[in-house]
Amino acid sequence: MAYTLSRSEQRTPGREPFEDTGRSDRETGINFGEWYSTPYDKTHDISLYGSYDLNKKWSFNTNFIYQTGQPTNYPVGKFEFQGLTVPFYGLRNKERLPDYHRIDIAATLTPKKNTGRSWQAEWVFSIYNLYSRRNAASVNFRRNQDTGANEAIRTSIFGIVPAVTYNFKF
Amino acid sequence: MKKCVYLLLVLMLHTACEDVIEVDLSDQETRLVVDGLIRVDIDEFFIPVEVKLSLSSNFFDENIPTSAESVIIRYEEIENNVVIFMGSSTLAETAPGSGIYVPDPNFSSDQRIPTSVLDRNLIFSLFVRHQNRLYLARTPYASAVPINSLRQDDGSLFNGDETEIVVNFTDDPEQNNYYLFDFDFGEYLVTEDEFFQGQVFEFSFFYDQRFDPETTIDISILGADQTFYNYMDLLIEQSGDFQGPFQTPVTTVRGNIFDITDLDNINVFDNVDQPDVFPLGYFAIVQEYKSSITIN
Repeated sequence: MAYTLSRSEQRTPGREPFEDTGRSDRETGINFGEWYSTPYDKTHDISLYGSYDLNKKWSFNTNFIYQTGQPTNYPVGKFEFQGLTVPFYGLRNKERLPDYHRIDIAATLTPKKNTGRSWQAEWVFSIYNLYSRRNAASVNFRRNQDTGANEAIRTSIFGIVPAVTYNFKF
Repeated sequence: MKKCVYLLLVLMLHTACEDVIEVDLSDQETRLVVDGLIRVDIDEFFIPVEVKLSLSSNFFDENIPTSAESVIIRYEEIENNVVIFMGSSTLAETAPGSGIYVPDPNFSSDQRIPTSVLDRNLIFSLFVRHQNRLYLARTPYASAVPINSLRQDDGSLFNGDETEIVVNFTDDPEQNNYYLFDFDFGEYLVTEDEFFQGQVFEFSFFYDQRFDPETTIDISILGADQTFYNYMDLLIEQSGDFQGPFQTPVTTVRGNIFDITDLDNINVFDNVDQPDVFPLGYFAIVQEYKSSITIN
């Protein structure tokens, strides 16, 4: 089992001017120059790993991962300009994506005929993201072209992924 | 075994990358929104001034029109720090609560602005007094060039379900130009003449749909100055369907309208003293050339 408690912040103050643009000589910086969470800030990061050798032939592995959702921006409002619907945002990285978690399992089959030969092989039957959780990689906001309604779109890369692997050594 | 593979395939196909979810948007801010893009047909006698005011809303709701205490457009030509020409137009709401402001028809004098003033090198200022705050925007007039021709072609991009329109126009060789194209259906495109200064330029625009035959599409070319070009470029990006999983951070696109209520020097009116006080929207007076094409 591993657990990490962390916090990651960054700060981007406005630059000093390098040329006179005829406008203001100051920049406000990102988030008005205040500290804000980086996009990779994960408060809690837990991983559990279990392994069980049933017999010489079969062994089982499983792991569970839980991470606090990463910081992101949700619109604090929207406005319309010439028929365009435009979301606008508040302070940087104030919101978080839904928490990330998944379970993977694997069963490893080591055939008996391995004994005494140079060709060592094993079969691994695994399932990634066992309960097919739709972990969000990002959440986008847009206007649905067909219905005209605004909606939030979650992009998740993988659902459940079963796999069969054949490993060999010689 | 065959069944098993089939089952797995079905399972994986059903886990699409995107889906619509419910998101609780708790943090809300309401700001004044000014839709002040005025499209000038130079052949008309008057500038069709119309400014729309509304209040921004929750992302899932509609913007609500709002009324202002006063809306005034002032225009002046300045030479060597001396005002050599000026005028103004007082706007009034078309109907109470509509948030749409046009030159006041009940004023003692004609408040419409003749297009003839555009021959001068004018700066237009929009003053809006709304809920005891004073907002100001300044813009020059931006000219455009006519569209030479519109042509439908049968090219496609990805899925073959697009409609291709080929636009042809001749850039103005006298100046560095920025253009905004309005392709109808809320589709916009910006371009600048850096690579086709003074030349005939032809490009294709793809609608992500097929139209019924005999559908008429209105396509406009609008002039823009650099700041309006930048604004529209960002606006198109931020309102876009999908920016991909590796998009740059989202941001608030601010226009050229500033809250000047608490500023003591409006000659430096760019809000860095009060960076969190700002309205949304843009004020621009631009020339428009309209063309239409019938799909076949």
